Amino acid sequence: MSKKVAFIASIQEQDAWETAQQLNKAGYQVYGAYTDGASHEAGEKEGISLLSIDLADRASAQSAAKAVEEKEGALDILVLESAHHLEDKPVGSGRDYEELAKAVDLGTVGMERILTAFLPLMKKSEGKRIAFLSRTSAGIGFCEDKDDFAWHMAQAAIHNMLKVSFNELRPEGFTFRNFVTDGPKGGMSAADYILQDFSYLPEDDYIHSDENRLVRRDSLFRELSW
Amino acid sequence: MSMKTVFITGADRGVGFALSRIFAENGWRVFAGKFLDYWKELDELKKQFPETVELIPLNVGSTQSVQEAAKTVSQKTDTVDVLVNCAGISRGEGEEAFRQIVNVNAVGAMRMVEAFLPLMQKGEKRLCFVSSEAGSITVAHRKGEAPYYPMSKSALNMAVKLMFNELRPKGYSFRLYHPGWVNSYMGGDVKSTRGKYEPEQAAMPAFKQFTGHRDWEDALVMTDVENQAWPF
Repeated sequence: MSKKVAFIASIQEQDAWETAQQLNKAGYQVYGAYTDGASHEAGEKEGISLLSIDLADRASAQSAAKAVEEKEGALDILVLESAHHLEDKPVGSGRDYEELAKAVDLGTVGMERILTAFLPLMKKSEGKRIAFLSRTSAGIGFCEDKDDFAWHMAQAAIHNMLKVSFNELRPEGFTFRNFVTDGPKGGMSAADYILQDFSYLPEDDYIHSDENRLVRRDSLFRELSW
Repeated sequence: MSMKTVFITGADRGVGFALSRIFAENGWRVFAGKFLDYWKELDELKKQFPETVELIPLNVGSTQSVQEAAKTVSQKTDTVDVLVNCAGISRGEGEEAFRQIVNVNAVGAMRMVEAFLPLMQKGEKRLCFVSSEAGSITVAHRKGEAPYYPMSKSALNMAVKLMFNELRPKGYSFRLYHPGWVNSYMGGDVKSTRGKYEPEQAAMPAFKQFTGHRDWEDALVMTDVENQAWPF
């Protein structure tokens, strides 16, 4: 029986890399994509197949999806992480607003380009699970930060995009995981959470299933607000 | 008692124009951001309130335009009490569509706040943002392709939260407002007829909330025309 397949965006980030290793250890064939625009060698490292995606280029995401399709045929788990930051000065000091708009766009639409490119592969799989790695401060309600506007604004926009994707794709059998990676040490790892099934009884009311709502949680399975 | 001063972006028409009229009718000095040269409602309002309404050319999507607007206002007053960020667009074009929308709807509000902070130090320090239920991730009910306008409103809500975290301890208070489904001009020069509210119906409760007091200013909450709270 062939291995299940996972693809992880922004593999240059430590939590994405650790998630890749955890999924590899769990028996998945794992692909990871650098999204930071730096030069990286394609190939394999510690069991993870590595490639690069230019977030600004829809064709780049489509090429990555084609490469995975040619080798694996389908994709069970897609893990997204948006990690585009801009250095800020304190509010009131001014900033380069055009750069800010570009950075929010790249961090947000870059993830949309990857999601869109890989959806056809996921529709061919058994897994059909879309995950997003974020931080506590990616929730507007919880956020106590005062800077890094580009990253924060992209996180909020992506959450909205994922909710709309959830609305569209959940009836097709897709499931969604949103994991906060800066929770307390111990408890669930990102892969533990991503692979964990949620309660779902098809005969029950739609609203009573934990799988039929989009939530974000941390390592202690605590739910965090948007 | 001196006249209070408000600056309103997106004042050409819709909720922004209705707010400009209501502020003027209630004795405020109104600086109205004018984006559309060919749209004449603001010119009529200026004729009606020649002493207290001032039209300021403004494109919140342009840093230069915002800075010039702040400079122009600073030559006419040393205090802006209330800043109302109402300018917004719902569409962009091609691969640049989201950047274009977020540049106006979210980054535009940041441009305004940071440019006008020097004028707000001595005033009421009230920062108001017209957002939308579309930006509520909890409530998001749409389906299908990435919804750029709702995503831009989520980005706006987050930007407002970061500014709130910095400025609330410095005495600023915030209003985040969902005007409801308004018969507006978000789709272009033709006014929508499918909405639940006329712009004036959405603007009057906004005026009350933007100028009223709350005992819970340390919480940032999006409220609607009924003053009901919406989750993020």
